[in-house]
Amino acid sequence: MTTQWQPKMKSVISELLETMFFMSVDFEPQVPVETYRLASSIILARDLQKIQIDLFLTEPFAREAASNFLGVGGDEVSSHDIEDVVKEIANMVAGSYMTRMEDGNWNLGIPSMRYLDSGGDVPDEGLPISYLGEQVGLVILSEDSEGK
Amino acid sequence: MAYNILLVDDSASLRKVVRKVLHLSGFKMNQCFEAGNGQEALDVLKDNWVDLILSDIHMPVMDGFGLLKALRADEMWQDVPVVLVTTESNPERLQEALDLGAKGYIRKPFKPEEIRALLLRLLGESDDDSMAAEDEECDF
Repeated sequence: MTTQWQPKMKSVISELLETMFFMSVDFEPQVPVETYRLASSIILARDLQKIQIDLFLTEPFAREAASNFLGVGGDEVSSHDIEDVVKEIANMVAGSYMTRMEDGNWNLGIPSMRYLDSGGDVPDEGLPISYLGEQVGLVILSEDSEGK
Repeated sequence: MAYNILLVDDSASLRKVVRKVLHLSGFKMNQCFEAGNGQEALDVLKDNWVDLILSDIHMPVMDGFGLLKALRADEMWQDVPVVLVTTESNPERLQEALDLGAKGYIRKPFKPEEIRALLLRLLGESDDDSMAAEDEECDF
């Protein structure tokens, strides 16, 4: 799997999480303490090309992100808030990534979100997201061109 | 002057954040209405007057383009400023929105001062005119 997209994606995620979620992350792989429970996907499409961005997050990180985003305490954040925020993170990641792509005219889809079962099917490869020394997320970008 | 504002976005959390940003930045709001898509926005407008609409583009049921077209076709709403708060970055799509009557756009992620500055400019106010917002309720 190519990793050429990762430098741009690191910049996108850092800027987003710092600007709107007040969280500073790094991209060094760590041993995950929690399993990923939430996953959001969004598609960029152009002609016959498709890029899918998948975002996997642990529940505690998603909860803290939602808490910071909404400006409320962690115990005031509902599961609906968390789901909504995770989708919005994927939405903003994809939108910002689009601005960094050299060739434009991509169409942005609407993000989806799903819960993962314990030990759910999460790919091994991707861009890890670590926060306060723990790996809390994973981003995967996959490209597809019809006819390939 | 205090303004009636309509926030249109399928993300409830984003609507909360924008509302909070406007409130904390001292933007003068009288009432703040919310809608989850363009069709819901039109439903809100049947019974309520607004001075300004902030809308996302990518929404289910009726997206931002559909909302802009509907507003432009309605004499009552065709002159109300619409600002897009969006992740869209495709220049052609953004120009299409401006051609449909949007007065400007702010890309997510945004800094609070960006929204405030753009809205004040569109409403013809300066920063010196701003006062602390009165308490408002957001209706959905």
